Amino acid sequence: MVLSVLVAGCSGGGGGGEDDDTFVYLAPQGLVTEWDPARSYSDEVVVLSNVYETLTRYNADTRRTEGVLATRWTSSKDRRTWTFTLRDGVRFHSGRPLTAEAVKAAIERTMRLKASASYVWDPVEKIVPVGARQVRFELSRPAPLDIVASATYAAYIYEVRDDAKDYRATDRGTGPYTVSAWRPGSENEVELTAFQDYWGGWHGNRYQKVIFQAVPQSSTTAQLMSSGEGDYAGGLPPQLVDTLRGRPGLSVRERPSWQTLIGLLNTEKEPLDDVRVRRAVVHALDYGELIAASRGALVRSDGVIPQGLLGHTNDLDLPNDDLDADRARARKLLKEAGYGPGSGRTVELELTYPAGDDTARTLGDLMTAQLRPFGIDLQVRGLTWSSAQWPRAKKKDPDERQDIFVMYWWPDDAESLSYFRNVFRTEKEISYNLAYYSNPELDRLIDRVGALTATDPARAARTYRTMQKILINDAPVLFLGTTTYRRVLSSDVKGFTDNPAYANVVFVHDLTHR
Amino acid sequence: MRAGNGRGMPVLCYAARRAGLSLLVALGVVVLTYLIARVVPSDPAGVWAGPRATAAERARVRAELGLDRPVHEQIVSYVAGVWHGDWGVSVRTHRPVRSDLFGLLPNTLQMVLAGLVVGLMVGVPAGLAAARWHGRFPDGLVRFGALLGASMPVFWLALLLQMFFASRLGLLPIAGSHDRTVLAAHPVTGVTGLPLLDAVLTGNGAAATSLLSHLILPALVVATYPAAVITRLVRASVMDALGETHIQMVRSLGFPERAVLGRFALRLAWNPVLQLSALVFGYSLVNTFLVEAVFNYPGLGRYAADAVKALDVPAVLGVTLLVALLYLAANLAVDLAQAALDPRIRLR
Repeated sequence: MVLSVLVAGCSGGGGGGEDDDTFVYLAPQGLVTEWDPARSYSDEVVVLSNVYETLTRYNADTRRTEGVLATRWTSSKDRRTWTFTLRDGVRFHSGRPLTAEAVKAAIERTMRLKASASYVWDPVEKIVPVGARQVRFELSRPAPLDIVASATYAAYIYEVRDDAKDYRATDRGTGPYTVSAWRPGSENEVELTAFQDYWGGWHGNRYQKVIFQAVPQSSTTAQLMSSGEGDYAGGLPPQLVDTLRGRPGLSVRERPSWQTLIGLLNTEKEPLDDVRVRRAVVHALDYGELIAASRGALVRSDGVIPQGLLGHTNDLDLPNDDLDADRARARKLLKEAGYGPGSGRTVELELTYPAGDDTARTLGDLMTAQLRPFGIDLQVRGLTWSSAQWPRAKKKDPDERQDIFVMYWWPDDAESLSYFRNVFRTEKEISYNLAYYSNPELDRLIDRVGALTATDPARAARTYRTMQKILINDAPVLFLGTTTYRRVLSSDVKGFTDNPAYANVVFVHDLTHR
Repeated sequence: MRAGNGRGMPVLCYAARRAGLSLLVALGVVVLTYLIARVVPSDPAGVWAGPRATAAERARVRAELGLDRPVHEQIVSYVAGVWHGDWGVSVRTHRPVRSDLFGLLPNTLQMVLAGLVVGLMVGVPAGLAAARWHGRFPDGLVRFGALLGASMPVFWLALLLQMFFASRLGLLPIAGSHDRTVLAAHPVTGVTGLPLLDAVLTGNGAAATSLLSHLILPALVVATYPAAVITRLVRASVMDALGETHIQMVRSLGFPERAVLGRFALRLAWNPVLQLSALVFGYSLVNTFLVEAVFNYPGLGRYAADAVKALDVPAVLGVTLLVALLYLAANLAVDLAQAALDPRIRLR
């Protein structure tokens, strides 16, 4: 018996390597907690993006939106009226055709629920179907609605049902795949099957099935990829990616993401409430060394806005272009603030980062070493995001909060605004502005730039530049780096492009296999 | 339970009394875990709503989950719920904890039981051999093996076996509990709830082979610790027994050494081995946390580890309660089995 088991074991493993038309996506944890496309705001977007579709999709390479469920769109000169023409021949998985009424119903429900990133639709005042194939959006203020309609979250078009529970483990989308199985906690968490009436067709060697496997142990993921039992692994640690590079049957793809790693400095608590101390910390760090220590997980940030988004610029005069001058400046600033060697006062700081993030931990430890010669004693603590790091950062008493909050930020749609509005705009109730930073001038620009993006992109870019300059001057933030996506793929997979606008999403219908 | 020569209560009364006491213990476990989980700073509503939910969304979830009520009210409502079969809803998976747990329990039970069986199959003969050749080479070898087995970190052993037998030699699957395509073509019909046993009982050879091939490595890792401690215990018990006067008498009567060890000395070792098995069963349940993570084996351990990481309080409570209940049941079963095996034992 044991012998037959061993023979059976030799002839094939447990994954999807044996099925050429099955795409196996290896994820570091279970993906789906929310099936409602209007409420989804987490990892399940990786699954939902293959089941539901949006009116448009943002192409990060061309920096333009492309049609998905809409084939063309026009806007009035003031960008307050947008008309989308729907694609012909699109059917929901139920068999019903996609109509303008259905688009209106879906977006209105999403807006009504006020969950997920539904705020992206805030400028929309009225949705008017024009015949069966056109939808007109009337806005209260100018907005780039083609980009809004391409958002990662809260922009799906779905068949509206009365009871939210009906969305669980079934689907009401138009996408290329339907949900054929959902087994929470099982190794094959979700299985998708080709929707044969998909408007995009099934010509060529397209994958007929998609399996999302949750594999928490990264060494196991690496072994599954090596043995051909997985087709895609997106979140492996750098050292494992390095061991897989060059292996036969595998390829490694890298590109900078829109996910930035930032350290928010507590502007309400001593000693970082003093802008001179904040600037000293900013200038004392050697960012080149930090990036090198990340072993390829990060690239240098050029500012708040990553490459590929409106407002990105690489001439912001960030510190560290001249290491010696920066260090001298840091010492001078500390001295002016009454700290530094010889003052008898040490700067004691506590940095928190999301527990389990090895890159953030490595950077934190290195920052401790880099800051020590300046008389800055940095304690680094990894805390679970939802249960410890974030709740503690929101404590009423600023003295009970951390000094430096390390977190990642990425936008919900292909706009730069959320980096500013969510993280640096004055907040009455603490949410993500964990530097507790408040600058009325920046607030004013944040409120204005959204509309400018639609009406005058060049002016919006200049405004974004001014906004970044303000932040560099006030120093409530450390730009630690921008995450590099490092994907390990089976060589069988053809046509993969990594789109930072849709973090970790693989649009499987776009791929073919050998 | 204690050894004695008084008139024993009927087994059923004893079992009922122990079950009642076990319920009290389980209640204590629930209340304590609940309080500890609430003392730890956590935001279950935040976990439920996702990492980037708005304050309003989190407030809505908090009210929906009843987290805005006083702690004592929450405990009472939780205990009442458990009594009626409602173990709460996981804030991470958004599914009822009971169905999550009972869906995964068979896999874990299968792994732990397989580990225990292997542990006994290796531990008893190894312990006997060590006692038989006490102080000689086989004894040294067995003691070294037992020391290694008891002290080796399970995750390390799991990684080693996985790398060698699965990745390097390709003899066994790297991870998972079954081959998806095989089980799709040969679905297992439920009889006992344990997938492998069901596949064997229903004569589903293809599924049984697939399930067994995936179980071998994890079960071997889980078996290491039980095998090591059972070896030590059997060795010590048999050596003690060999010094007893009745064993010396059996020897002097000319019984062959094999019978002296197997029929007389080993019989005295069964009781402590049984007792130890209950302890090792509980230990192995917890050991699966790491083994299931490495082999990506969907079971209680992986679920518990994910729940702890996310501070998913209802799931952590559910796992704790289930492990406590299994532990209590295993102890009771062992006590009853001991009474049946050893005529000196009376149940009180």
